[in-house]
Amino acid sequence: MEFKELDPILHSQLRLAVISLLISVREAEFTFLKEKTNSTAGNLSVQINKLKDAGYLDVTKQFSNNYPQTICKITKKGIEAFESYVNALQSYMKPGAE
Amino acid sequence: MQHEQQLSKEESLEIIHQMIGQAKTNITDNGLSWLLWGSLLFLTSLSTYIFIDIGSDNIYLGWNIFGLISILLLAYDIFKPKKKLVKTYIDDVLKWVDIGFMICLFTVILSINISVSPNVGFGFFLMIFAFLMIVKGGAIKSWALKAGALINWAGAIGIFFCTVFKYDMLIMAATILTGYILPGLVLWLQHKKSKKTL
Repeated sequence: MEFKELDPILHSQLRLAVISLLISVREAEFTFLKEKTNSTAGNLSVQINKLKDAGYLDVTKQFSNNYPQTICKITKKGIEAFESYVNALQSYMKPGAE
Repeated sequence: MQHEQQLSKEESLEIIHQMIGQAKTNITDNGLSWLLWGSLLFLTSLSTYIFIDIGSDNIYLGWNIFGLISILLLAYDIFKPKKKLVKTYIDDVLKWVDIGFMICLFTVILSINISVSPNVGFGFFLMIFAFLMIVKGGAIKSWALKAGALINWAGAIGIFFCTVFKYDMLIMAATILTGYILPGLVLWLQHKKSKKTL
């Protein structure tokens, strides 16, 4: 049986958590992601930048009521990468795969 | 949450499962807009009934005032600063449902002013209120809104059967009280209760 390789960008706890959250909602603010992933702002910021550099996320910085806001949105490439990642995981999980 | 920790396949699946569960930002409604609009509609319908009953010259005074307040409230709603941490796909759908509802509402108002008899026109109002309530009730899984929708449809049928405009307004007021204000009150109480338990 042939195993698909797991995407190293997604095969990390926090980055996978961020992508999994964003696959379920259309877009989310940085503080929402921070709260749901229970991570620190610095760590989350680094991981979001890695996902952005990979083209998996669109990150928009804007001001709302004089407060800075960072909005994250999954891209088409990000959705495809997540789907491939889940498919690869499934191929490992099939009975007799390991 | 650690970020570069080596993940097993099971852990990966667990993270995906957990985060998708976390993203279910229970869409809630605090019920205030149903209470506000319901109270306005109730008072306006009742005022029209009273104006007809006492033989007033301007029986639509209440609706004129209601129209002005509505424009102010809608303008406030459009321009007020909004701070949402997350936008879901359901938010997008509900936004278009709201736009469709407003267009239907203004089309009915226009039709009453052009050719449709108010005797029938107010029934159309209740029909589109019911439509909005059943969609929102389905989206937020609220039995109160779904029940409100049924009451509004019943009220609409009542208005279509009733031929006396004065009583149409009484049916309208009763329908709004039971099918609009009460569901709003239920949502408000549920919202208050859920805040307390947090």
